[in-house]
Amino acid sequence: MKLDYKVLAVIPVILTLLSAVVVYVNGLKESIDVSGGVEITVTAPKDVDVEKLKEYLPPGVEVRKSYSPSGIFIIIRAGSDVDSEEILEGLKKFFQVSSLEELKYSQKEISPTLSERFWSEGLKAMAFAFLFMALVVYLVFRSPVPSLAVILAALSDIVIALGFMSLFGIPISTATIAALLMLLGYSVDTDILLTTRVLKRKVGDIEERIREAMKTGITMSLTTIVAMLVLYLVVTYLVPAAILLRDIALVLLFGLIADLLTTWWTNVGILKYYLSEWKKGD
Amino acid sequence: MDLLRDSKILILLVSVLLSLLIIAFKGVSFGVDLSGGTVIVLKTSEPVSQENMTVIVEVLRSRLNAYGLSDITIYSRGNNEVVVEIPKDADVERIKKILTQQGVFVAKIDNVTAYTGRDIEYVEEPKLTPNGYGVVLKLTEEGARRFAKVAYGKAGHRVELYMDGKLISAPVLSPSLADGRPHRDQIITVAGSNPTKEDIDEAWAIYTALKSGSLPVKLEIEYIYSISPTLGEEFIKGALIAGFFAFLAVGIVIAIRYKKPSIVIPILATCISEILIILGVASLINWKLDLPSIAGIIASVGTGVDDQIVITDETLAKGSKKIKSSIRRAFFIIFAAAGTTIAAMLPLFVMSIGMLKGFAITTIIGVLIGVFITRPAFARIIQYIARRS
Repeated sequence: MKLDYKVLAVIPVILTLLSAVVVYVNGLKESIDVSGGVEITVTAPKDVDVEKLKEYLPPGVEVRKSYSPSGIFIIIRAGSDVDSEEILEGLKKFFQVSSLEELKYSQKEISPTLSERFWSEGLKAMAFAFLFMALVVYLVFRSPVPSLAVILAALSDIVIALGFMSLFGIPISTATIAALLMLLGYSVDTDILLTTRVLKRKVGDIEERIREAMKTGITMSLTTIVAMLVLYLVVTYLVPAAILLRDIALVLLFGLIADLLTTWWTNVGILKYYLSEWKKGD
Repeated sequence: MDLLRDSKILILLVSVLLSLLIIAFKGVSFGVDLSGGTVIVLKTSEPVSQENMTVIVEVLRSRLNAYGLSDITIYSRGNNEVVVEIPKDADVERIKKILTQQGVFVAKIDNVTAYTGRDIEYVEEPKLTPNGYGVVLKLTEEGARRFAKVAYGKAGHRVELYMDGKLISAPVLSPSLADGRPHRDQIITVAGSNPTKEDIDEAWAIYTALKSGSLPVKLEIEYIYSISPTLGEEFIKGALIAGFFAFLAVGIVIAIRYKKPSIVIPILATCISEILIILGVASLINWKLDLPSIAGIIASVGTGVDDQIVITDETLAKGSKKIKSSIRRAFFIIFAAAGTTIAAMLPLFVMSIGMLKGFAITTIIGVLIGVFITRPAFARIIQYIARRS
């Protein structure tokens, strides 16, 4: 027995609402792009005791350790109130090196004024990106219900991706905002494909057109999902230096899996309803 | 073979060849975040005019040159940001001090100005002097005369030296300098004979500020990213490995779906040529590939593969008798998708957060190359295959 398409259409909507609740309750982890402060990564020549290292560093500093085949990475984060020079001096003393270059280090520092702007401008950019996208979608289809379906599906994808980020502690950062914008693009692509096939193709009935569109659309999503999965695995197990790419890969992975549901359940459901019931009313 | 005579395919081939040529001769340059080095973004305390921006950039350049860094890039962004790129490992803490020092220097005796930064003709690099660690300087003749007048008969008083309103040193005026005759040689000491790292940083900041003159406005550090060259190298290597395997994985999905090599190979070949053309354009416009641009390339290649799947399925689907109208419908989807992507990227241009700008630019370039060069050519190949089968 197949579930009614209307029931299927509602499932991703419920998922979206749940994600929104998760984000609201659990909050999003902030990278230093957003909160301001300093982040320093060094490669440790041998395994180190994090607690011992902390004794060399000023208070209020967060220290994490991650293992990889190419070495042990120590990631140190601190707010803008901590003097980064003290951290660097502490690291030099602890590892007994004269220059941090010996430890293959990277350092990133964001001032509080920039991080404030990151929020206000980042959110504005996201909002306008969404608005412009919606406008183009409407110009393409010139029909409110199908356009709204595309926009709703894209919004759901982003909210669900944010929910996953909240659950798995992926921080909101410049990289993940880029990933969310990429997700917006990919998400809309499959929806446009579906809507065009269903509304503009003359061959076959609705069911057949949806089936054909699904074959194309799922191949599209699968190529990207597989590519992101590989990117994630390679970065995690081979080159953890590229941690930014890992965040991008994860956000897209979650978002695209959500997109399979929002496109082929919700968007399909709305289109079916639009063609079989809404339009009959005209 | 008439496929090779087709204009769309020729455009693609020529673009790929040109790109290869440009990449081979000019090479692709990487941003500091990949090749190693330091990027510092400074913000002025208020918006400044174009002339003042030029002054700021020049002053900062001469300061870093005075410090001994030559291979640096400095440019302004908008009317309130200056970006400094230093392509090698450097002492970030010292550079921070050197860059943000506004550099307004005044020497006062009993609150009367004796000389200022403008009266200095020549400064020596920080070193240990008989009076302690500091900077030795030589006044101009006019400056020395003014100092002589103010200092006359003030032996035992303090000479207060201010940098940007902060008292940096207050040596006692020796009787030999208070005799009313001009003495051009002066010393600014910041510490005794045992300077700490911070004292040395300070001395270098004073030295570079005196040497290069003062900045028209105050600068504040907004963003610093520093990565050692070895880590940058590892990163590029990692991105290449990841890219290769991701490509392989995409190839496998495509192969499972379409099975026929006559479809799989063109899809992957178009994909590679798209990456080559993006790199070629980047090299041509001297665009430095950094992390955000790599994300942009991933985004545009991803949509590229998606679009090729759309073209293939539209053309080869059962029941699509007229190839021309199938292709037209495929391009309707492709242009709509490209339009939404570009629309979504546009707001990032107005944003002053530079990192996302790089992402937006590469994505848009990639999408445009795809829509106007690679996808039309791919459509011709698929049309050719459809006609033959």
